[in-house]
Amino acid sequence: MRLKNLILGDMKFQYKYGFYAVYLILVILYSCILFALPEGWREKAADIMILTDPAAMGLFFMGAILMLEKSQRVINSIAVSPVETWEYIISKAVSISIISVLVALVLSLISGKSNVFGTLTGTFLGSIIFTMLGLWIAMKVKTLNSFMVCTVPIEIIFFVPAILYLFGIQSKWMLLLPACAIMHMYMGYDSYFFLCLLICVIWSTLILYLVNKTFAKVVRNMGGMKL
Amino acid sequence: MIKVKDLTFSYNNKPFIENVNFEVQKGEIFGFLGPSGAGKSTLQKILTGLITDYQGSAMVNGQESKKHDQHFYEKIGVDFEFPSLYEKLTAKQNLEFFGSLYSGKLWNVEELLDSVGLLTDANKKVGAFSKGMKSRLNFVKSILHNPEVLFLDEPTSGLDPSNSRQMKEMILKEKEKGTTIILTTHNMLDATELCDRVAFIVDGKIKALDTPHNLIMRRGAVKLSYSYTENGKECIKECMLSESSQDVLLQKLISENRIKSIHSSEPTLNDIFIEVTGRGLQ
Repeated sequence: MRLKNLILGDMKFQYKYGFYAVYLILVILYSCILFALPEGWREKAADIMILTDPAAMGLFFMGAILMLEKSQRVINSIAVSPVETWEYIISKAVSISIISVLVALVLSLISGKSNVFGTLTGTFLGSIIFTMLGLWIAMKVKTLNSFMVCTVPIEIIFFVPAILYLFGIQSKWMLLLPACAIMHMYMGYDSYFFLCLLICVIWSTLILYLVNKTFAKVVRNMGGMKL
Repeated sequence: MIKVKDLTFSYNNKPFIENVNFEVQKGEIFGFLGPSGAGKSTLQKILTGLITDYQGSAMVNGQESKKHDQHFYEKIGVDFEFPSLYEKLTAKQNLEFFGSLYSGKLWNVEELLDSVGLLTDANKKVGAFSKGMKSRLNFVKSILHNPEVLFLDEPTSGLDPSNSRQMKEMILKEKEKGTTIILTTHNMLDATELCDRVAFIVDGKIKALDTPHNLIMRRGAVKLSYSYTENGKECIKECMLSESSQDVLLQKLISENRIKSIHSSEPTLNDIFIEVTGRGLQ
């Protein structure tokens, strides 16, 4: 019940801050680009678009969201409420993932992708992973500029192997990387689908553990003396 | 309600809070008084369960603070020094959201807003509120879930005299309901007016703990100041209240009905604080 209220609260907050409006415009823009591409390119282009934007949107936006919550000190009130740290993290991840999945659904349908279910599942899990990574970085840095700089290596580490994987430079070991596992789920349903799903769930759990620990430190250093 | 025993905490190797002991009874307003960086906020963070790696014991509502579960927060409320509200949401939406995080019985949001004169602004975005309005909303947010222990951090900081008076009345109303209140402040007037007992905190140690009245009177430095006219000029003299019977001039002026004004002047809590700790409050 509390988790549901938190997620609804985050969605309301994201709506008020124009996240839904921004993604409505981006969906129109991406759709125009997809339509402009030759039909044979659309599916691959959609896979890259979905992985690097809706799936990874949490990586970009968590910095802004957390900085805003820090500046409005809302996080202080949440820290002294019955909300568990994992509930706070999950709420952020799920609320962002809902936008990610909606955008991915529209782009999948427009591009004529055959594997919509795999794409949406991969996008949901990818969005959870990227949002939690974004949250982790946002907790570690003090300014939005340093947040943006810190996300660059993560983008390179995650996106480059995934794009290589999409274009056939593949090894089964690459599936241990979450972005490659997500890309594999986008590409089609096969015997590796559940393995990829499991890899993403394991990564999500590990990152949740990491963010949970960092969040405890953030709470401890809120206000008063900081050393 | 709150029992702190041999509490020690450090951020590094040097103790920041050292051997702190005190108890707070149900329905009492207990003040932490001290300059910035004295350890007041750290003590509050320990009592609210945000810092858990301390030594000694800090029992709040019968629960050891460092071993608290999340139910612990169902019964405590915290009003931070600065508003902690979503600026894009309205006053009502803020209270509804924060209220939805608790499982117990909540105050009616409209009633609460009405009690602090914000009902007509219920649907206004908090970003458009004045500092006084935000402080009042922040306060009602902290009591929304009927907490048994309320932590207030500089509740009148930056408020004009009228808003400050209103805030103090709200705090006293909470005390009347039986809420235990921990007030963290460096405002000696707030502490004198509101607190049943205060603890002077400097360098992480309690230097004195008593009622404001006892602390002031313990010094025994109440002075008597009187004025009279001598050769057409107004003169002012002072003597210690305890020695007034030995002041020959005062006796003479009283017997001749020549006193123009007379009043006693007690030291303030700030004077006592400086005397006890050797440091100012501000």
